[in-house]
Amino acid sequence: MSWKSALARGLGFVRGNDARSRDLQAEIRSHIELETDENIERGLDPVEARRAAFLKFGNPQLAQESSQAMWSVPTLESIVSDFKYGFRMLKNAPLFSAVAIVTLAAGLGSSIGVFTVANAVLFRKLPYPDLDRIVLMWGGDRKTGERGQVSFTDTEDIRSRNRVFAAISNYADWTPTLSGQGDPERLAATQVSNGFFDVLGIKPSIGREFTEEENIDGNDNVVILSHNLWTRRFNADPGIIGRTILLNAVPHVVVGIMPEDFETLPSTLVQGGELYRPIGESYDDTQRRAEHLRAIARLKPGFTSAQAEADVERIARELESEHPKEEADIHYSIASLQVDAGHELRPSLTILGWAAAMLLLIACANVAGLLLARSNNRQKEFAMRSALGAPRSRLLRQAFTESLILATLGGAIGIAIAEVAARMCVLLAPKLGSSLVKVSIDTTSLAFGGCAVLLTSILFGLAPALQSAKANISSAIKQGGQNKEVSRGGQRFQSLIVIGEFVLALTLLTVAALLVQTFVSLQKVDVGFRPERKLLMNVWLPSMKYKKPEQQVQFFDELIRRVAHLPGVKSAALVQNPPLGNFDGRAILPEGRADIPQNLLSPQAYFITPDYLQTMEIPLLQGRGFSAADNESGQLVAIVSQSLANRMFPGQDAVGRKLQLLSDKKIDGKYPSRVIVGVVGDIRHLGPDARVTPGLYVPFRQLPVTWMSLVVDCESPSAIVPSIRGELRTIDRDVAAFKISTYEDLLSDSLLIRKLAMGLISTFGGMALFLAAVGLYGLLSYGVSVRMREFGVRAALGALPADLVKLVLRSGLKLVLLGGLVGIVSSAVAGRFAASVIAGTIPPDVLTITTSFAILAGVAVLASLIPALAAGRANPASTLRTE
Amino acid sequence: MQGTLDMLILRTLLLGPVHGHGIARAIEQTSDDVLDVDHGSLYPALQRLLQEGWITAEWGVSSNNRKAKFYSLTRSGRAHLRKETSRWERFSRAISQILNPARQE
Repeated sequence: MSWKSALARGLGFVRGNDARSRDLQAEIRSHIELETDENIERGLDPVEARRAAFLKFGNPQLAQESSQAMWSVPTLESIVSDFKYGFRMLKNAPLFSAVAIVTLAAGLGSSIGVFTVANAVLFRKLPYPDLDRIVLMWGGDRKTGERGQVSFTDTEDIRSRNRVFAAISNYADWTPTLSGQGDPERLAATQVSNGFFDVLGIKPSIGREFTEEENIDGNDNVVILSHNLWTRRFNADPGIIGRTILLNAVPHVVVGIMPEDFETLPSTLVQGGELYRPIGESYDDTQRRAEHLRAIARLKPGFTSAQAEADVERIARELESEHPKEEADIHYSIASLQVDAGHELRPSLTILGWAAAMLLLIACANVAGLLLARSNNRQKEFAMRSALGAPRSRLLRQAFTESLILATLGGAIGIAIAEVAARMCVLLAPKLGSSLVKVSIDTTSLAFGGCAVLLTSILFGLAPALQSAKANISSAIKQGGQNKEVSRGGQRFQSLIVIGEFVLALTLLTVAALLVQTFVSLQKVDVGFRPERKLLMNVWLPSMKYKKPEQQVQFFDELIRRVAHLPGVKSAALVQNPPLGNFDGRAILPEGRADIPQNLLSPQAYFITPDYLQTMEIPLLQGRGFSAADNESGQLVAIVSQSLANRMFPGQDAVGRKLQLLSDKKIDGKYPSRVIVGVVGDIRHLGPDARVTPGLYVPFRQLPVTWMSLVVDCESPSAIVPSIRGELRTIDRDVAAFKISTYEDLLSDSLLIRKLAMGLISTFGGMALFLAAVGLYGLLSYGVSVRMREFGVRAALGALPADLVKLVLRSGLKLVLLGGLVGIVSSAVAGRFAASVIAGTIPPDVLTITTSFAILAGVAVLASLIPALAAGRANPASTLRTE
Repeated sequence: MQGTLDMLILRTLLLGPVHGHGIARAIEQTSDDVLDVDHGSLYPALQRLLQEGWITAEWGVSSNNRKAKFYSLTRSGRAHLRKETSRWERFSRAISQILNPARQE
């Protein structure tokens, strides 16, 4: 279409179809008048001439209507018929449709899923008034540029000297134990300083905020409850205001309750907001570097983050000149809360986003290939429709309608996949140490999905649609429905994509196989203790109530005594730092080994009750275990693990030797000696995929602490939890049990990252394999459909069907081999990379790569088989007849 | 067949701008009244050709001083006609060969 007619058409649209109709009407009238004139010239009288002219013209109304039908605003009716026709075509080719839809669902599903998570994490507007004025203030060092937390005193100086903030406040995580009513519970709470709720712009809906006096140490035993905690623990009783609740066994007065729709800061900044309490620090020049707080502020209207940063920088330099030692090189950066909230997750989401986009592109390329193959087979149909008067635009529209149907169906399934994936993200996030509050498909992600569907249908539908519209009757009929004009470039491009898909599939399959093998072997690893039938429960004593070691010992002795007598319990013990928990290395000095530098040996220290080794079924190799006699009044003793014994006294008997534990209290300015009374087996403290950790065991009574973990060996670990809670309550209602889990669950959680990586890579590997198979199938089918005449001629010249099948299979296998060769190299590299990222993953070996390649080749043969068999059916008679 | 009508219209316009009535008359004459059609059915075809961008239209005055809309061939219309004509000729030659095998010698 020339630019002039395009312009005219555009103008036509602007003028509207009314004007066009009138124009057409005038034209038809003029036509009839011209005919009448001619008839009069021929000698007819004017009335007869006019009648004949109308007769000749036919029905003007009909002419007008059917002319208008040609205008390009399609009528609803024709769109409906396009869709009906499209559905019928897809139903007639169920295999093709299913493959195309699943392919698109995979691509669209992953894209929508990643978008949904990204949208929730990065783009969702946090529900605070004037959100764009809320900023985070990070401390840090001017030289290194690292950002970190801030001190209370510095924040107070910035509060009093700044010109940009309407409010500024510190906040920090706090995990108190709530007791007194019902089961004691550990809460995810936040400590805040003056002005926190002013910064967020939301006030308690019942009661009041903290006063300035309440922020001072000593007056700070006040709390504001979240709506959730208030309803969950206090039955939404408004009378709670003014009453006291016990937090860490200390009474706190409830002064306020937050509104129901109030949302605490994002989980990337705080662990939770079940209740709020003042920080209770005071201005102290010596505490300028006590940087254990975070800061959040609200800008005055009209100020930008950059202006705020400049102003805070000015204050920082003032502080530096006033306190040159403490404030050297101090630097504060200001970042918008909205932008910063998703800061941590941004890189991984970016990578995921690109991966999903790539997957979608590959899916598009594949479906385009499939459609091309099909449109080639449908050439005759399109040619026929064109011959019957369908304008090119209509054929294009038809082809796009079919693409759109495919994409929409794929998108619908994709959205379902994305919803499941998003839910899994939410489920898994806390276990991975980060949390996503609410992630689910919403209108925004639906809109994104809609756009993606439209865009992809254009992307993969364009080439096939153009080809359909090129259809013309003569060549189509002459060639028996085959288009001879194959775009060589297009073919080569598609071959490249297919090869790339095979490389990707082989790489992912190999890595997945390595991860699976690693995982299976890890299941068999001996962790050094028996995880079966074990329950682990953390117990934290409120330190205000249990100040003296005797009190702690008394509580824990009582706990053990009671739990050990519960029905079904084989044995029970206490340990600080149980296996699969944190690493807590304690420096020791073996006696007689002055050559070993201090701090070189810092084994994992376990403070245990006598029954611990027996409860965990850790084997005693030499000497004896602890007994009740190994208490505060007995001799200081220790048990070491095999590997620690070997390191301290290689080739010698460790039992009877001595060591100093640098955590012991000095007696007369010297660390007391502990006698090694036994050697036990090593355990893998950090999980089955970690190395054995040298371990040191010390009787708990000789070094008491306020928090311990209870380990119970019993028939049904999860069923006994309520009884243990009951015992805890009987001893002290202020003590909470938390992080309760069976050891088997803990063990499986310790492999969670591995499981996740394995699941993800296997899924992607499977998806890549499927896409590669679809790509190959599409490419070969297209090739076969184009070469059908050639195959017919070959058959006529004596080629057997088997030869033709082999011919196609060979061309498919050629691509697979090419992809395989590159893939072997890339999977070797990727396998090594995986081993470096996920420690302990077995390195790629020949067998694994060969097996993956065999799977790949098998799938490729299957994908090639359908088009190959079609080639084998080439019929010389029909080919020659159409020649 | 509509494809045929398209070609007849385009061919008529090869000689220069013609109005709708003129096109109808010309088709009647050149095709020996074989493809006699209602004049009205010309207009959907004209609209379609406009849509495809093969022809343009402009109001003018006829030889007997009547207002009429004149159609003329665009460059792409000309190209299309050329392509279609050669295809058509090949096609009709094939058909006539099938129908009159004797004349082949």
